Amino acid sequence: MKVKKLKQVAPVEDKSNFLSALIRVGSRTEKALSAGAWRLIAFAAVIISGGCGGAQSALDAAGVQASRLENLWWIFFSVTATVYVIVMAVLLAALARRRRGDENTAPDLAPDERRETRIGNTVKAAVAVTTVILFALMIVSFRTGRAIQTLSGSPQPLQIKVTGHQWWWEIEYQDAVPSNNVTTANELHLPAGRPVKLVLQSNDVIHSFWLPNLHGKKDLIPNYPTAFYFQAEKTGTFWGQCAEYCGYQHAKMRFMVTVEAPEDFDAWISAQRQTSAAPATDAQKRGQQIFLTGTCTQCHTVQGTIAGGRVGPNLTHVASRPYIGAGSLPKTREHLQNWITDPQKIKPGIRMPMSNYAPEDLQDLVEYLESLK
Amino acid sequence: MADQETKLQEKEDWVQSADITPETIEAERRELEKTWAEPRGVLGWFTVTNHKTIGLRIIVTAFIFFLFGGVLAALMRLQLMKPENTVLGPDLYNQIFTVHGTTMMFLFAVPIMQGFGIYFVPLMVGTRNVAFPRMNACGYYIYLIGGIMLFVGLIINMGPDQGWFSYVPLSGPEYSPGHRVDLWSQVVSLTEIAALIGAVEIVTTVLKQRAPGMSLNRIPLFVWAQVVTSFMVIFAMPAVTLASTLLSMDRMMHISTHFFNQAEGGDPILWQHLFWFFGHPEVYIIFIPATGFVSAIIATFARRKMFGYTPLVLTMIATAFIGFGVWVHHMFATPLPQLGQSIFTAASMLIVIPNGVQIFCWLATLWSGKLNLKTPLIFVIGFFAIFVMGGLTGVMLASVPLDLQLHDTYFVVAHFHYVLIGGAVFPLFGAIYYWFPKWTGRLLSERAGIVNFLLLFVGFNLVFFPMHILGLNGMPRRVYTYVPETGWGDLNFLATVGAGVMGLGVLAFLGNAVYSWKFGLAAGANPWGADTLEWATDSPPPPYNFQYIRTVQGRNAIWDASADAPVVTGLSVLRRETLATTIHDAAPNNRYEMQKDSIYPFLLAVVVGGIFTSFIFTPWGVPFGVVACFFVFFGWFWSNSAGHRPFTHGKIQDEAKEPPAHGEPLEVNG
Amino acid sequence: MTNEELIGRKTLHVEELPSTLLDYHEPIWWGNLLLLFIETTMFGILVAIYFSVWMNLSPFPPPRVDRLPVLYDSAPELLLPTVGLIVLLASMIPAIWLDLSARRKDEKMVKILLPITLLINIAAIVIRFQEFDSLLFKWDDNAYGSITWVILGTHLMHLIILCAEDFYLLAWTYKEGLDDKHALDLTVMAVYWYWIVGIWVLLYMLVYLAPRFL
Repeated sequence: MKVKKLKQVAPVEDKSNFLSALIRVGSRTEKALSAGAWRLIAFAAVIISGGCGGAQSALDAAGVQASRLENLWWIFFSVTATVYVIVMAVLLAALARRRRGDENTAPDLAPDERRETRIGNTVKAAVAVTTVILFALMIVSFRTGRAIQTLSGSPQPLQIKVTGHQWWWEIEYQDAVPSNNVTTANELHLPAGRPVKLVLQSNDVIHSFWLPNLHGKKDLIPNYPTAFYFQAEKTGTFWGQCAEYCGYQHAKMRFMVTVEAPEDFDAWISAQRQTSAAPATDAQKRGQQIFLTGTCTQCHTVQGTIAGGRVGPNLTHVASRPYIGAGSLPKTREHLQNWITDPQKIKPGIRMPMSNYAPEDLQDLVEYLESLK
Repeated sequence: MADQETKLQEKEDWVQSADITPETIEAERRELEKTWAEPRGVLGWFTVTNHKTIGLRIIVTAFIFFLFGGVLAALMRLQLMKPENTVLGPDLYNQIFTVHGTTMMFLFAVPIMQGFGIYFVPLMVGTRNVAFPRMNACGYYIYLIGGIMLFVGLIINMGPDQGWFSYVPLSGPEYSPGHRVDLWSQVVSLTEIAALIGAVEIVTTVLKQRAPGMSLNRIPLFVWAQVVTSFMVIFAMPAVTLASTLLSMDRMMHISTHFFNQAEGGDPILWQHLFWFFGHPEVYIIFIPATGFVSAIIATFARRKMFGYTPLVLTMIATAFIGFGVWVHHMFATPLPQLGQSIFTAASMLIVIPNGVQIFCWLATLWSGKLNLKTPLIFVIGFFAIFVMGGLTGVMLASVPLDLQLHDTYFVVAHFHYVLIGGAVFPLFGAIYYWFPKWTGRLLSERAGIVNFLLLFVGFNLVFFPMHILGLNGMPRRVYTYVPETGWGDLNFLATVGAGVMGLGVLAFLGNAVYSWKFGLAAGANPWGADTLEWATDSPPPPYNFQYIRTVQGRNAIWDASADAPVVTGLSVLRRETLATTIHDAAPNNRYEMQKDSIYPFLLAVVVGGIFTSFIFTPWGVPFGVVACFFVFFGWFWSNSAGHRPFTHGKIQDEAKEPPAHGEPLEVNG
Repeated sequence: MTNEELIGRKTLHVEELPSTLLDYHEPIWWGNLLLLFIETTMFGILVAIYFSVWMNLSPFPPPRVDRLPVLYDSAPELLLPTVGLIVLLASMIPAIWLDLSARRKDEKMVKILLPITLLINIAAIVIRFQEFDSLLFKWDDNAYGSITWVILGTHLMHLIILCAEDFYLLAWTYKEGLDDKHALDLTVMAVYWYWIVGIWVLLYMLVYLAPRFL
């Protein structure tokens, strides 16, 4: 049972320095420790029940590559765990042997030769076994390495270009017909059972694309475009995250992946190919005016309008995306308002500036954005 | 043992029943005390060149940095205790994890290991000081300046925030404006220069100043570990010193070179190669000295000669070699050619074999010894339990496919803390318990030591074991926070509790050290019945270490010594003289005069520190600094030479017997 | 050992061993050698960076496009650097001679040779400063310019250190005469000298010959 006392505290602006933080820490430590002390009992259960798994876990494979990697993991795990247990058993046995001495015990300078030979042979055997085990592991690892690449050159992969930005993901579904390309952000939809080719590049610093339920990570290095292939099998929602430290908001550079049946995927992608929905209500129309006449358009694109900025995420179908700020917050009206008003409070350091809308204007703007399904 | 019996006695010309009488002993000791007396006063603090004073200063300084780094770690654990925590903001968190990593690697782990080397290598090889005492002192001050610079930076909000491996382009001029990265690269350069100086000291001392009879195959394993490490330092550290200098030149406004700027032919991946070419050997630079501690402790407390001396030496050397061939396993996620990856996988797995051999030899020694279960040995047992697990997770990380899942996650954080804390910090604590009596003349409390061990051991596993699971569950390293939906909160909370327990363990140690320093049991020269030469002199040792340098008759210098083993006489007691011996056989070669105490090492360190500090902001400090360096060096050498005996043509040659042609007649072992 | 254990004990009496040997038996010789290991590693890494830049740039060296007409043949000019190389190679003669004289403790010869070596050394430094122009690129033009400047600069730094050492020994010898300690310093400096010249032969091939002829 979890009695979560976690408030969704928006991070305060970070103007602290080292010394003030030290003082702050002192006052908070005690409170936090007592608040969470009850959880200690739950932890043991979590670990024993194999706390591994979930929507962002390497051990809950949802695709071809990840299952192979998971199998490899369990092979390595069982072998190394066995080795560990044996070594510890020998250590404990050595300690348990009742041969005690103290600092006055005469050192054994000429140990019994037959015993030394026997021990020596044991050591040699242990080294030999270690070598064999390592070699076997190397072969298994190599085989898996080959196997997870077998999709390379697959005839009809779904091609997606992922561009890393500080600190969000630009995602472009590429089609043979350029007008069918779809640009979105921080959200991937994938058809189950179809190979996917990810083309990776970075716009600024090094990022790393990691989607543990589907594949291992790959670095996005500026001017080193690279690609990898994988195939999702299980439908569901998964999370990925930047895995190479990329600066201030590295922690909040997440993305969500929805693996769905091919027909659902087709429905989704054709919806995404539409230009943005025209505003229907008055509020939405006013909101669109505010959007188009304000600073928003300098960075954001909404297809079907004059907004064509490329600096920030494409907002054409922003309302269809469940999160904002690269997985920082669930997209609710309230969060959207807070985000527009002061993104620096939620995700300090990003390039989106604060804005100062009158409350009704803000309402209408959010109304408009919510209509961009 | 008969053939091991030294043949020194056969050289009757040299071995003689000299007239050691109570009077000569006392008279010579008085003169030695005067000749080697440590300078006093504030000025004396800056002029001292005794390797024990400098070594202990390095150890204490590094331990203080360890405590600072630990405080930073505790702050990070508090921030990560629960999702969306606000103890630290991203800016401060990023500074703190960078400074934590930099401190632990550059200001704690490498220097403290070298500090033990500087203190104990001359004692263990039975000489009176390191080869170049003034350079040695200079190295300490340079290191100190670098360390202070880092923490001053953190306090004035100039702490580096780009991660301790400073990947470009994030650390380049475009994405890290300001001077935080510049400060980092100067700190790195300074501490690495200090490490290089220490390495040269240790290698030269071991090559040329071993006690007569301590041939290569009789060097204690601790000393071997220090030598192998020093060679690794010599070949690894230049890469990072150079790389960080090039980085700061790329960043410097009036220089703006393009080493890592892709637009102009540079390469960001080049940085990764340069950094990891240093960075992975660095791990062994920290770990191999710790194996020296483990070997020293195990032999003493298992009450037997080491099982597998030769394999242990060879595996150290093998580890050092292979350690230079595995750096790319830090870069498996970059777009690298397949063939390269396979080779580095093979090398990374291969390096497990020598480490395995070491573990097995130690276990064999423990198995067949009569164990004296005291705190140093208990910490070594903790070392086994933790380090072996770290080694095994290392096998996982060597596999390219698995590494793609585990790389840069909390699994890796767990792995390298198991390796570094298990492999280096636990042996280090064991070593402190082992040698504390040598430094202070008093034993640390055994009972407090066991409390200290238990807190540290339990706390450590509470902090770091859950991190394996966190990593598998998708938590990347270096995140300042995480959202509640990730489900990482519980294990992170557990880790934070563990950090508190570890902190208590360190406090228990500090309490023990302070108490025992004043009130501990008196130790005597050799409280553990150990076998290396540092235990053959007083605790703490006199400034000249040994009134009579010992001769060595076997691998276990004290245990193998016969009752009538000769001692060395005839070294000047009026000058700081010691014996230089030949490289292979340690046959007496010549008398070697040590330099005197001097203020110049400190002055040089100040000038060098000034050059590097100014280089954070402007290149123009360099030419002035170089000129200043020249003057300091001039004074340095001139003051040294001025105290030297004048040369008279052939006088020394004439007076002496025909000197042996480079050691030949003096070969100890034929 | 207690006094009782020491009294009457056999001893290894070393009083008659020499106090200074002028070769690899001295710790300072090994200390110097280890420093040269470090510096050689430095140059090894610089060479690796040079090749990395080479792989990234095509053509290599890159044409100079910052002014018209575009200069396609931008490999460094050879005349002055070759003169510099010859000067350094020629300096080996007095350097070896100095080394041998120091080992013989021939004070008169040492006093003659020290100023000669110093002059040659200064000449090499002057030539090196001129050499930077033969590169056709500045350090901040591109990565090729950066690495060649740093290679030349690092070697220049060694020439300057050598010059300082030479100057110091000259000052000492003229003021105080030659003694064991400084005879040893001279032989150690000679090793440094050989290393500087030797490594320059390789660097000359890399920086000047390779881009032009490969």
